Amino acid sequence: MKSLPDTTLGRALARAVLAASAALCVSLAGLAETPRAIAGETGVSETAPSSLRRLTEAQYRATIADAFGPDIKVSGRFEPEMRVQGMFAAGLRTVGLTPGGLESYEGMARGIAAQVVDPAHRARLVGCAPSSADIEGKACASAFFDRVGLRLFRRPLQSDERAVLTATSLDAARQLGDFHAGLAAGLTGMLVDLPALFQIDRYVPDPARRGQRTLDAWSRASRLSYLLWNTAPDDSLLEAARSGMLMTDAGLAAQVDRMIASPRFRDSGRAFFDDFLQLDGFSSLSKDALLYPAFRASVPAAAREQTLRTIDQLLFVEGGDYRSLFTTRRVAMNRVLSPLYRIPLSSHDWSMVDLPADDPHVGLLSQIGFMALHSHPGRTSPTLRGKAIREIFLCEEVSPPPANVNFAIVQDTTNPQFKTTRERLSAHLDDDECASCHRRTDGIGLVFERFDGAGQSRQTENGELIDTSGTFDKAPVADPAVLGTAIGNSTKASQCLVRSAYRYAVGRPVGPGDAALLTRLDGVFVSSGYRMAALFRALADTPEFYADPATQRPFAAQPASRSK
Amino acid sequence: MAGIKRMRSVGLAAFAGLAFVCCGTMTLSQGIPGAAGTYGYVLRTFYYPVQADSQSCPRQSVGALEMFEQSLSDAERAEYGGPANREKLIKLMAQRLGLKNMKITGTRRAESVDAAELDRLRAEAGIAPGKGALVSLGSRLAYDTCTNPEDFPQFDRGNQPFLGAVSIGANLDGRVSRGNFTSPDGTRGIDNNLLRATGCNLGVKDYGDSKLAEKSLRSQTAPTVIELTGVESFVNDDDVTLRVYAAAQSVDLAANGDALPFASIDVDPDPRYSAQVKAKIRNGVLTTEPFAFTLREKESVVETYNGFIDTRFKIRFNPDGSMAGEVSGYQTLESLDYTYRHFSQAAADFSATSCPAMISAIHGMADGGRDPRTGRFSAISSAYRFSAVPVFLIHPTPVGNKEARK
Repeated sequence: MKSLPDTTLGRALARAVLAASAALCVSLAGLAETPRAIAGETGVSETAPSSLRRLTEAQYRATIADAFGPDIKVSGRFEPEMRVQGMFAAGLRTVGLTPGGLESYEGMARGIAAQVVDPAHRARLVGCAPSSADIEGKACASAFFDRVGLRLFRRPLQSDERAVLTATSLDAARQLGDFHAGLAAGLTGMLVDLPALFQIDRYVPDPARRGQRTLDAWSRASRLSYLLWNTAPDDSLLEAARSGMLMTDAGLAAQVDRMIASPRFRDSGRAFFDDFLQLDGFSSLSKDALLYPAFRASVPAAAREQTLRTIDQLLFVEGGDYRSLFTTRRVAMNRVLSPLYRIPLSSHDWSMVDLPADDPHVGLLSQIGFMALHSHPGRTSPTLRGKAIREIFLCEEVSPPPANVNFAIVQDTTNPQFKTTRERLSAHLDDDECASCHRRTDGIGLVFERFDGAGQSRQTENGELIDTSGTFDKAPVADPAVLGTAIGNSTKASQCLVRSAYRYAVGRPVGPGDAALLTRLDGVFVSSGYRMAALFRALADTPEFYADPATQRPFAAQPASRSK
Repeated sequence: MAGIKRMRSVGLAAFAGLAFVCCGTMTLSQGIPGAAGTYGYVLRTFYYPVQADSQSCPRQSVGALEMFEQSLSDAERAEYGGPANREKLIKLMAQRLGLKNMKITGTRRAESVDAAELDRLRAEAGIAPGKGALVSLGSRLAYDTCTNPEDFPQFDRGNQPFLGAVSIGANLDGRVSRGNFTSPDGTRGIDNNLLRATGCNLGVKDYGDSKLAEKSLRSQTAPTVIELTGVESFVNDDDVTLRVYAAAQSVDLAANGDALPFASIDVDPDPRYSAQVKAKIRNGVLTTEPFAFTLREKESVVETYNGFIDTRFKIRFNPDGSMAGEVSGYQTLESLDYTYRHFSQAAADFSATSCPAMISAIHGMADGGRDPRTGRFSAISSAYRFSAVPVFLIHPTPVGNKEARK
C-alpha cells in the first residue's frame, strides 16, 4: 500500500471527508447535529436535534480495540477534558473539538486506518478485495464501511453516508492506484466524523410515556454500553437495538443484567472511579527525590493502579460494600509500592495483600496514592487532604485561598519554633480570614499527618511525635481508621457517590430536576447494602436515564430495584 | 532539659517502631522463612578503603602499557608516546605482544562454555590452546597480560607496596608482626596484606577512596544479601544467625539513585554463594565467628566472585534500619586470580595496572589458608568496609510447597 499519512493526496482526501463532518460541527457548544432523514432501509427513525457527548480517551481506545482488535495501536494526544461538579464525565457535553484537537484525532485516525488495511491485518479486518466480479472494489468497500460503521457509529450507516464513503475511497484508490490506500482514506474520514467521536443522543417519542421523548434504540445501546462497559455496544446489544427489544422494559432489563454480569462491567467500574477519585492527577505527580527517595518515577502510575485494582477487587469482583473502601486493610500491591508500605511481597505481579493489623494504612484515604496525590512535592498538606476528602467523597465545595494569602509560615518546614505541620497551620490560622476555610479542611487532614508527603508512615516530624487528632462533623476523631469509618458511614458520602455515579451516567451536572430520581437511587443504594452493581443497575433500568431532558417530567415512582 | 529527654525517648521509640515494622510484616508474608527477629539487607557498598598519600605511596605502581611505552626506542616513543597517541600505543602493544581480543557472537557466561566450544573460539581468534579467557561479561575472547600474566614476565615489576600504617580490619593471626597495620582505634597487629600489595595501584586507590566508594553501588546487577535471624535485641543478643546469599535480581534503585530500602528481593539459592554463621550482638555491635563465604560480583565489564575463608563480619546498626560494618579475613588467591584474569587489558590500561605485577605481589604477600603439607598460602589477609540497606528477602518456594498450594 502506498503511504497514506504523508501524501498530499491522502491529506486532501481526509480533509474532504472532514469537510463533510464540518457541516455537522457548526456549533458543538449548542450540541446540535443537523437532522438527517435516515428512515427506511436502516430502520433508524427520523430524529429531532440531539445532543453530543464526546468519547473519553478510554472509551475511544476501547471502541477502536473492539472494532479492530487490541493489536491496533492508537497513538496521539487526546483533547483535554473539563471537570464539572468534580467529574470529567459531567463535562463531556460541554466540550467540543479545537482545531488542534481535530488535527490530533485525524493523526490518530490515519495511524489506525493504515494499520487496518496493512497486509498483516487486511485479510481479517477488510476481508475482501477487488475481483473480476467487483473490478473497482465498490461492493467490497461498501460492505467494509457497513460493517465498520456499525461499530464506529454504533448504528447502521445511512445510505448517503455509505455512498459518500465508498465513492471517496474509490476515487482515492484510483488516484493512488491502490485499493487499500483508498479504503484507508475513507476510514480516516469516518474515524474523525462526529458519530465516531461523540455519543449522539437521538430522541423519539416514548411509547410508554405519553408526551415524553426517549432515546432511540441505537442511542440507547450506546448509552448503555458506555455506561456499563465503557465501550461501544457488542453484537448482542446491537441486535437488541435493531430488533427493537431494547425499547421494551423487558428487553432493556435483560441487556442490563447481561452486561452487569459480564467481566466487562469492571471496565466501567474502573473508568467511573478513575474519574470520581480524580486519579488523572497521578499523571503529573512528582515528589522531591531527596526528601522521598522511595517515591520513584514508577510510583504514580502504580499508585493509580493500586487504587483502581483495590476497588475493582472489593466492589466489582467480590461485590462488596462501598463503605468498606474506607476501612479495608486489603489492598492491591506490587513491588513498586511495597517499599513505601514497608512490607514484603513475594509476587512479581499485582496481588491482593492484607496489611498487618498494626499497619497505619487503613482504607482508601490512607493509601500511598491518595496521601501523595493530595500533598505538596516536599511536604504534607492537611489542607489539601481535607479539601480533597470534602470535595471528592462528600461532594462539598471548598473555596480556593484568596490571592493575597501569606503562606510563609506553613511553607517553612525548618522553623524550629513550629516543628510540626499542626503547629505551622495553627500559627497560620491566627489570621481570621484563613481560619474560616481551614476549619473545614484541616480537622480532617491533620488526622493523616502520620503519612508523609509521599504517603509513607512516620511517627515524628522534626523530632516531635505527631498528633493525629482531628474532627469530622464536629465529632473528635483520633486516627485515620476512626475517620475512615465515620466518613464511610456518613449519609453524605453515600449520597455523594450516588450523585457522582449519576453525573457519570448522564454526562452532565446534576440539576434540580434530578432530585426525585436521586432520592430514589439513594434508597436503592442503601437497601442494596451499598453495592455498585445495584446502583448501576438502577441507573440503567430507569426510564429517566434515557429520557430527553427537554421534555422530561417527573416520572412515576419506580420500584426500588429489581431483585438481582 | 526536659525537651532533650523527650526527643531522645522519641528517637528510641522511632527506632523500636521501625524494628517492629520489619518484624511484624516479615512474619505475615507468605513463603518467607523465619519468624519474628528476621531481618534482610542488601549490600550497597563493599570496598577496601585506601588512604593513599605521599607517605603511604611515595611512588605509584606502573601499568603494563606504561612499561611497554618505556621499552620503546626514542624514535618510537616520539611517535607513540603521550596521551594523544594512546590508541596507537595500545594497538602497537597488542601487535608486538600478540594480544588478542575477539568479539564473539552472543554473550555467554564463561562457565556456560564447554572446553570444546572454547577451543573452537580460540582457534577462530588465533589464540593458542589453553590460553585466553572469556571477558567483558562473556562478550569477548581475549588473550592478554591479564588473562595470561605468566606469559608476560616483562611486566612483573613496578608494583609499589603500600607503606601506610593505619587500616581497618582485625588481628587475624593473633600476633603483632612487622608489616601489620594499626586500626583507627589504635588496635595493633591488623592483618591486611591485600592493601599492602595493591594499595598504590591507581585503580585500587581510586576505588578505595571512601568519598567515592560510599556513593558507588557495588555489583548492582548481581548484589549480595544478608539475612539475620533470631534477633531479639539489637543491643545484646548472644544467639543470632547471619546468612549470606546472592540475590536473584538487581538492586532496586530509589529516586535519588541509591539502593531502595524495604524493597522485596528474591534470594538466589545457588549454594556457591550461600553461607551461614553464628553471631553475637554486644553493645549494639554484631560480630560473627570466622567462616567461609563467596560474594558474587558483576560490574560493567567483569563478572567474578570474591572468595573468603576465616573471615568475620563486624556490623553496626543505624537508626534508619540500615547497617554498616567491616569484613575482615582472608580472601582466596583463586578468586583474586580469577578476577584479574577477567579484568581485561582495556581496563588494565585504563587504570594503569599491570596484571602480572599485581597478581605476583598478591601471591607474594599471601598469608592465609596455609597448606600444612606444602606450606603454601592460598589466601591473603584483607579488610573490607560495607554498608547495606534493609530489604525483605523472598526465598524461593520449594517445589513441594508450590504443588501443595495448587
